[in-house]
Amino acid sequence: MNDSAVKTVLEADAVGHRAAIVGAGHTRFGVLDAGPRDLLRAAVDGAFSSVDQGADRAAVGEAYLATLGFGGWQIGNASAVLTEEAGIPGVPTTRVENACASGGSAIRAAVRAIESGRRDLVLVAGLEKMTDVTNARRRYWLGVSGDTEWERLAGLTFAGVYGLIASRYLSEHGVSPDALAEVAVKNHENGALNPNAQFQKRVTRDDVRKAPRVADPLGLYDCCPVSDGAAALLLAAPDVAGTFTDTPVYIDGVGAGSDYLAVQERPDLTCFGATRWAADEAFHAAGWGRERVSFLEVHDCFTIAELLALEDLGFAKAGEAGAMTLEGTTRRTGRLPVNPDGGLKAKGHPIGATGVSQAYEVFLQLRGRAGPRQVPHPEYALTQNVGGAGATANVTLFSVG
Amino acid sequence: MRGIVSAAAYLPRGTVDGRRTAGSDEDGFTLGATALERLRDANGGSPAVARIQLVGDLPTTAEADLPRVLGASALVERFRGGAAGFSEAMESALDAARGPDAAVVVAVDLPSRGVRSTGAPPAPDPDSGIALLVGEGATVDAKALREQVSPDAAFATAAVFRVARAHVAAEPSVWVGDWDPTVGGAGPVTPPVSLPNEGPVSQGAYVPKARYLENLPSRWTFAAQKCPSCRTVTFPARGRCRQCGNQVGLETIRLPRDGGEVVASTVIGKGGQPTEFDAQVESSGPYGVVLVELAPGIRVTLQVADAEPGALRIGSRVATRLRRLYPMEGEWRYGRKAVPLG
Repeated sequence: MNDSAVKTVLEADAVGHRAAIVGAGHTRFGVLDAGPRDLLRAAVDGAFSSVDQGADRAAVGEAYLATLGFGGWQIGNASAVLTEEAGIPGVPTTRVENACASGGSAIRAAVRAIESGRRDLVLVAGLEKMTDVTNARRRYWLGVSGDTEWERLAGLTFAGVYGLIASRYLSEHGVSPDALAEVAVKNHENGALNPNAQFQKRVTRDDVRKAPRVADPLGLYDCCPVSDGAAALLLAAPDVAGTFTDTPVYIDGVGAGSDYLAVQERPDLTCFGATRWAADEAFHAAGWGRERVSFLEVHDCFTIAELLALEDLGFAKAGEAGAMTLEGTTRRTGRLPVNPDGGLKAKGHPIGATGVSQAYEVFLQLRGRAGPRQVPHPEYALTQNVGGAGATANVTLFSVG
Repeated sequence: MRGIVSAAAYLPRGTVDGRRTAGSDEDGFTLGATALERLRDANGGSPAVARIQLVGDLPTTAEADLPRVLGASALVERFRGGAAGFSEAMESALDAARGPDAAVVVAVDLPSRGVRSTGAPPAPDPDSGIALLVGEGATVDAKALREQVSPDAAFATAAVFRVARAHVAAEPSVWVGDWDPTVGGAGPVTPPVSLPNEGPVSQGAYVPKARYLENLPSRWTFAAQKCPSCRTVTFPARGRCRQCGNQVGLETIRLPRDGGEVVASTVIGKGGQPTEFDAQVESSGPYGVVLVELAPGIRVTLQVADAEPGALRIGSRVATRLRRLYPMEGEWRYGRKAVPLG
């Protein structure tokens, strides 16, 4: 897109609340016995039962399912399973797939449906069931969303691609691997307080550094796990949100971006253009700035990704996110908490569910209902959800009250 | 005189008991193709060649693939292995009655693995590939060479090596590449991986044969396309300028195969590999992957070969070699790998 086209897109947006989250549900993330249908049903039921003044399922006008279809379970038409399990067969439904950014993309689609004026209540669910399949098949699927013709043929899955990125980042900015380790330490600390998290235990920097290497400089504890899980949201038009709850969480801006699929075709390895564009669009739409943001939920599929996110979203200068992390700024008790739910690193990363799960955390936090991991008095939040190694990205901005 | 215009040889870097031995990602095709690349480079990029004579243990896919390495369409003839096959191939290449155009004899031997075509047992000769450009205006008399190669030699290339040694120092412009098996060897090699009949789990990140073939000019020769209107170089070549979208008049260029700089590097530990590389990891352990800048702003992702997995670091200069990548649907897929420069 050239500059004038970008400007036109940005100027077309008007500032205001675009949609409201009125209910949200979440399963445990981890290695679960439950099948994909069970997970969907549990997340959707959780979303409906969380609506303070109740919501009639018949009021849902549209449904979106975010899933990669990992392992090959129902790749085609999976969205119909969502409306079946939600008990609303007949409702228009669509599967949204942008790899790990599927959840954020589904939320964006739902917001657009509401903004169009055609829908007052939209169901968004994210799902992945990753542990049903054999180890070999799982590893096969872990690489399907990267560039298959060049990067995968050189022997890379995402761990490998992020390993390349991390090697370049550390070398270019002279950052210590301790900064990567600290991301894991901090997110495990938060995950230990999240009853839905896959890993509810703390780790030390030493644990992280001494873990087996997966894709140097990334070790096992630099990588998010393989997870089962689902999350669901009920989004309402802002003007009817009050009929569901007195404390809706508003979505004020959505932004999305894309980049060359293969990292080898991008001019810079140490930033994600897709995140930058998504953030610019989202902040422009929201009409408020980064200084208001109380906390962030970012896509830390690998520890290096959290550092890139802080820089690409405009909360740290290039090369400075590591120092910011080591100083404790991003801890739950710091000035700018990042991933209070444990992030993908500790909470788990059921691919399609992740973007929806981030919004679930925002829903709890902005309403002051996050329990022991509650961030003090947050009013504005940002989520960033990345597809693969930055080929797609979504940024969503939230406010309350 | 119709004879040998140019001769190129390739010897694997690996050594076992002092013998140059092909590594786990090398086979008859990669040995022959690497010699052929050297021949091509020594003769201005794309010599006009009408026929290619193949000698030795080359996979069936080599008949279609070696002309691609040469960048020319040529009639391919196959001959049995050993000196007898080599002699027949030379005869065919020299037969001016079949046309005045140049021909290339590509001969490979893998004595370390025995040779199926001759049934010969493993022998102390080196694994190697040679490519001989046969045409008019030659300085080397091919008939004499053919006669000096003992007709009962089991391994044609080793026999040619012995004969060639006398010529190499005298005519360095004709004899290019590795003609001395005692020079340039380094370290042990891992055994070859056998080709599974079915290939790995065949779904998900699946590169169909047609897409693999479509990519070969960029994958094997680093072919890129230069846009006549905005001058942007697009790699991999996709028939369209990545900058301005122009599809007309794109000029195909070849990016340098050797001398690129590593801009990022990683080592894939056991379990971090895609499943199609399982057999390789089982046999050879962790492998390195590097992102290499071939020309300003143009990068390619390559696996590391002929070196420890972490040997190529950011800033290292690399050469590249055609090697086996992984098996799919009963065939090997080939592409370039990065090796230490020099």
